[in-house]
Amino acid sequence: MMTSEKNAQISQARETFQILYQISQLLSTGLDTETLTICIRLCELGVDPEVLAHVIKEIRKMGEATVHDKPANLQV
Amino acid sequence: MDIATNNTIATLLHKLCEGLSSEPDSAYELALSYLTSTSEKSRSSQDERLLCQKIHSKLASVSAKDADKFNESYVKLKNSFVLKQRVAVLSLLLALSDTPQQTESTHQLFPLPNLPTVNSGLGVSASSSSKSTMGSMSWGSHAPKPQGSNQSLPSNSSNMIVAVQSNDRSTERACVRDAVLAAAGVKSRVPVAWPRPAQALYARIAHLGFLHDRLKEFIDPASGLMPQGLMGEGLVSSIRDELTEYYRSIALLQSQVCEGDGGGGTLRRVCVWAQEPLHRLTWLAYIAHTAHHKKGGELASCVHRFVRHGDDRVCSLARRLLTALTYPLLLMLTRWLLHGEIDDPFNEFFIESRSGVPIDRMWHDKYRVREWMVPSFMSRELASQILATGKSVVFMREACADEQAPADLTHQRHLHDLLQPQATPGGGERPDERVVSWWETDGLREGVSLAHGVASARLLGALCSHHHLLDHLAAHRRYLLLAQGDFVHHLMTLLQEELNKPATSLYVHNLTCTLEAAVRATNAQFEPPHVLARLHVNLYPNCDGREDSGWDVFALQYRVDGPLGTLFPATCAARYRALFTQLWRVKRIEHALHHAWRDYAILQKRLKHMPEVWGLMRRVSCLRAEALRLCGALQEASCEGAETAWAELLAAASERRHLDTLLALHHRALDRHSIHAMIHHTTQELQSYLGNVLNEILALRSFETTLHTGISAELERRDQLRELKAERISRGEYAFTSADEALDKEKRKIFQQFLANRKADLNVWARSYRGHVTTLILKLALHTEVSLQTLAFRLDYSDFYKRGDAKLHEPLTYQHKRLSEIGLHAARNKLIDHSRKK
Repeated sequence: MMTSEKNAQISQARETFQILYQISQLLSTGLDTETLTICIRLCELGVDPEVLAHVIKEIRKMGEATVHDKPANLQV
Repeated sequence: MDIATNNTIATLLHKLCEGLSSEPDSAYELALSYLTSTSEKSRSSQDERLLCQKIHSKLASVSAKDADKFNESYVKLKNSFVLKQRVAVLSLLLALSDTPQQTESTHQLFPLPNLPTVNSGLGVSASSSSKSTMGSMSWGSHAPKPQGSNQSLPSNSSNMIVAVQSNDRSTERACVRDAVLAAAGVKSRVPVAWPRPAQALYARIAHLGFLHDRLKEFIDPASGLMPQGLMGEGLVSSIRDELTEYYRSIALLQSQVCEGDGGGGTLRRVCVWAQEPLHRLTWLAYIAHTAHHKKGGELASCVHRFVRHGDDRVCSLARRLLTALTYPLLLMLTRWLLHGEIDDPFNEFFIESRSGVPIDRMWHDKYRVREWMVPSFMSRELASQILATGKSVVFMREACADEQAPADLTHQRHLHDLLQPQATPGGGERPDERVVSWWETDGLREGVSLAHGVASARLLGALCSHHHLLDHLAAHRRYLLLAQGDFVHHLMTLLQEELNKPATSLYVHNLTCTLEAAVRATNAQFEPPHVLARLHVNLYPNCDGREDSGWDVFALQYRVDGPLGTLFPATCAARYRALFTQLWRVKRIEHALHHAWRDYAILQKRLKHMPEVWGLMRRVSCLRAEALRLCGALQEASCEGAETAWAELLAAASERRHLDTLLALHHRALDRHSIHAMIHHTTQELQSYLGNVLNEILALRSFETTLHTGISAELERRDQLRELKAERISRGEYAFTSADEALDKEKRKIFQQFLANRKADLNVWARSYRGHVTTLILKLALHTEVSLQTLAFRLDYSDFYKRGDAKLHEPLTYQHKRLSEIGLHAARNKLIDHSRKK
């Protein structure tokens, strides 16, 4: 009994995740499945979504900045 | 938050940073700093509906499909209970969304007035219900609409108090439900118990139901109102799409207004919502009404009228319908232009293919434009160009048996490009810009003219190279219009005796031999064999039982078959025959006169001892010269008059212009020839006068023959007499007895009488001949055709006839022209004055 219930729960969770992933694609957030999973779990744990979004954006910006810096360094 | 949770968060964050950044440590530090700095603040709990609304409007601004997808996903998400922090996740996704977000107010298509629900009694705070998701129900939002203030109600109207009283909240909800049902076309009746304002609002909403029913009836095949054909089906399916959109918005409305707490779902709100669908359905119903019993291009023209409507919404609605319904037309058009095939089971295309047309009449009769089926966005010229293009393609395939596809496919690509926007409506990148449909772009015209150019160049190329079009044109002119002088002269000399026989004793095979002999002896032998093989002799006996001479029935014939039969159809051959007959006749008369001159020159030498005929001979000779000059001028005019037209025709052929242009030019050249040979329908009067003159000239020829025979007989007699005398003298007899003398006197007397008769004949003849020529010149001078007027001048350049006849004085003079012009001018002035006085 327990296992079947659990299975049902897992499949539902998967379905929900698929839906969320679809929405994420629609909004073109640029999150892959892994990152999205982490984000959902963070939100479930009560992290403020807006702050989280801000953090992700910042990290992305940082990555971009390093990429942009590299050729500049090479020139010097 | 307990420590365990914090730890999990920390590990997750670390993972996240590893996934996102190349330098996970610094990123992690950054993240931590942010999270700790803000975690103290109390989170503003977001309203779920508002959030959904935002996401929806954001998606809708890019593509309606995405918005719909989101709606579906959202409903599913709502039903699953796994996710606890649904709002948080959604707001995260929204915040991370890539596209720059616009201010929300401009994106609400149906912004609801900020109505405070009057004491709902259910504890729903005004702020949460004020922004209900009703605004997200944009009906038919796949056409980007102008975002203007006209769609949002002024906010101060929001203070209107809904007539429904707070205490009968349930009644109002019933009202709203009924109204929504009515809008969906469910038949119901307004309860009398309702207050009047509610009834008025209800009636307004219920009008939607009526319109919906009309449209439903229109697209129902059983009703018989449905337009026929593929384009009709296009219209029906696009109306069906509009209705589906409408149903969806009704369903959303129903779910939000009638279920649950009802939010702000008052009758008045539904009424406000109904404005837009009402407008749209009204116009749809109107368009559908005008489209009754129409099909094909007619239908397209009918819908196209609405595209020019000033209202932007109507315009875009009509454009959508028109694009949907003209798609089959575009397919047919492309197929016709590229392959020359008509696949038109419902007779909707504006080009019609008629069955049972023989192949030689294919170009002229097989296809034609159905004038009433040409859509109004297409000009007549374009339609005829399209017709010509497809016709060329068909002609290439059917008549020229040329299957090889052209190597140059640019026009095909161009036409296929026209089909492209249909496949991807919306254009993706620029959602605000209107999708330009195929029927309103210049692309169509360009594509058609490209295809037209390619097809006609290909056709003419094939005609000129494989079918020797230019050779045949030249041959027609040389042999049927007698431009090859040496050949014609030789043929006439050879045929002379044969053709003087009566028509019944002529045989085509004899004449064919003569023709071949003439060809062998002249420059015609250098013609290519495909030309010579087509040159034939034919006899056209008259049916009226007249005794014809061979001259009347003889004609040369140039037989063309195959694809060129189009350029030289039977009617054309008939015109050539008529021209040949006329030109041949003049030529023959001229030839006869030349012959007469030869006889005269031979006879002249023997007339030393016959001074009594000198005067008469001289007179005849002068008159003959006069007639010869007339014949010469006539021939010259008939050749020269058509010269420019022929030059144009040849230039067009070498430029590979379209076959229709060539046909027109050929016709024009023939017209010019006919006018100058005076057998055109505009020169019928002249034709009879010219006939008189020619008959007179022939009479001169026979007169001369008689005269020459008489004179020769007399000369013979005298010679014999002289010989008799000489013989008698040599025998030593009397040379001349009295009986002989009496006989001689008698004979001379008869001869004198003969000469006197001939002289009288000649006088009569000369008078009538001059009369006919004068009339001809007069008529020529009065003809509207300028080149015929110049011919009149040429026939009488020395004023010879003018001096002889007072009639000719007037029209040939400059004064006459001037006077007549002045007269016209004066008359016009008088008329103007008259009208002014009035």
